[in-house]
Amino acid sequence: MDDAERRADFTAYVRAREQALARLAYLLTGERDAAEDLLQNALAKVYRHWDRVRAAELPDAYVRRIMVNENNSRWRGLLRRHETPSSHVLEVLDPPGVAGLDPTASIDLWRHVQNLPRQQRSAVVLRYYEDLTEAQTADVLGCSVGTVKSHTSRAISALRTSMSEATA
Amino acid sequence: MSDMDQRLKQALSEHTEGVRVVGDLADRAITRDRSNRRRELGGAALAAGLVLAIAVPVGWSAMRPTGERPLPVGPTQSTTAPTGRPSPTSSRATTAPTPTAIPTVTADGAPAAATLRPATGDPTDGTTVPYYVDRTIHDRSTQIHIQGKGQKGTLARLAGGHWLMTGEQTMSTLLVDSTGAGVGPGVPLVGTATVADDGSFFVLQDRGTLRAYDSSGTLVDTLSATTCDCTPEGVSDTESPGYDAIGIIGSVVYANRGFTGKSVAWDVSSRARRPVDGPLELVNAARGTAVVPVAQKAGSDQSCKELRDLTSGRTIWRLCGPLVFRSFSTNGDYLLATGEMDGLAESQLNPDRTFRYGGLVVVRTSDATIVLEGSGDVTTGAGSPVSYRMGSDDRVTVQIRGVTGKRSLQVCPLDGRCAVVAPEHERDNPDIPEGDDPYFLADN
Repeated sequence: MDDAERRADFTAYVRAREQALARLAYLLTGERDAAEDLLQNALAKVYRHWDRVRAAELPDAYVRRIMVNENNSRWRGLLRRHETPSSHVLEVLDPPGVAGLDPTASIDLWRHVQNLPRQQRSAVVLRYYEDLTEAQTADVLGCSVGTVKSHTSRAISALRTSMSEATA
Repeated sequence: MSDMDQRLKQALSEHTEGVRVVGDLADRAITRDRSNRRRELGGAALAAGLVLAIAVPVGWSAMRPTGERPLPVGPTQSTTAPTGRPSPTSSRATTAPTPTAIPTVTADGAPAAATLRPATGDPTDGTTVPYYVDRTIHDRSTQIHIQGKGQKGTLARLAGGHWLMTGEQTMSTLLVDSTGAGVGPGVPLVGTATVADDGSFFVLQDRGTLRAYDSSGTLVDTLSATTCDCTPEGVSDTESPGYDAIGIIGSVVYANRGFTGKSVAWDVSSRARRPVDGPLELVNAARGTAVVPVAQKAGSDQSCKELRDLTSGRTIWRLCGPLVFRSFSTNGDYLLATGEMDGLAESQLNPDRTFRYGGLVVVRTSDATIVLEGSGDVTTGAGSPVSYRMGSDDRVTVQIRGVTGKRSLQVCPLDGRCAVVAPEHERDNPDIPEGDDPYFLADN
């Protein structure tokens, strides 16, 4: 595969998956600029290794893992901290609200999710948004199933506590 | 599913509904990859343990370099090797005898003897380092306007008044003469270029295969990736990483062999090859030395590099700390490094989580003394060194970020007082962080 074909192939993959990946990036980071940076840096790494990633049986799983690893590397972005983009690739509109869910409670819950430690938040996002199994989540996070259980259980417990304190 | 589970699912789903991709994400990712490659400079970042946090197939992940290899015999006695950075909490340099008595310096982040002080205003000085901007090569008082599109990426001087330019994105090369007209073979040459210091020949690396050309672009010899013997067990030969050219000394090309942690010296004139122990990061032709990564100790976050004499195998010194070396000065008297890199462990950062060193660190090769450091304003980035080269006149030519994000070219002696060589110039695509810098400094 020459460079032009590689670029076209990668571009086709990104176009097909970009909305889902953007949403995952936003959930992992909690804000537009950080999500944009995470997404671009992760996809840059995917592009670097595209020949191997595309050959994988489940390329999405690789991409997810790269995004989570990237997000957990807290120094990501330091190198680009001096250059702020003026043209964005992501747009984040206010959530429209979900029938049956109190908007205030939803916003509170979202805020508490963002305050979770990164590993716990990653586990929650992968389990509850991406609908991954514990084993799949463990694979993405690079940890054991037991650790996923622990992260998830602690996160839910913390969210319960935070929500009950907020409504008390 | 509990009530909390349900609410959590709904909240997460709800908060992603307003997320939309509104730009060309693939294009921006490819641009960022190019930008990352510029920073990482291939083997340097890899050897520093800054491998990407990427999931790769098992066969490959198992082959990441460890740098484990026997240390060459060093001096019989420990030698003091000052960093030149007085440290308030410890000795200014940590010189510790090692089992092989290699002079060892720890880069602990203490202030350097001199700090880069960028200038502003109009050009007041010149540089001995050729550079390319706006389709024109500037070589001291000579300007060569490139006929045609030109290439933005790398620039190198070749013998016979020729110049080699390699496009960063396409890896296609452009060979021009002293009038800026294209020369060489009719077919485009593709690959990452490594050029002999005297410009007598150059090597293009394409998919692990090295091809040597003379200064007119005539093919001299080829070292095929299939001869590398560097494909990990269980991985198809078609995926062999092949050779990674690091530098040239005389007629000998030094190249790493995939991820084997070994290198090869390929003499283009005799076509002979000989193995070289360990991976290499940088090679200097003037002094016949190389920067070699050292295996990281188990449980340690600190990376170490050694300066080694390639002829005798003697290790001149070892420097440990969060620095990635990027190039030698032309005469080999200094090494240029950056302290700004991704993936550093917390122990390798300042307590406030800032980098220990700035984007430019100048290290004297005789004793590993850090003689000059440059970093920009932490908040705005103004004054940040972007790219740099050091000629034989002991002055560093630095592309510097200005207050508005534009780049100027400045020349800075070792006392840090810079003078403007070329005025501020806008980047290509200035609205994204990865926009190309306008100035390209010559590799030789």
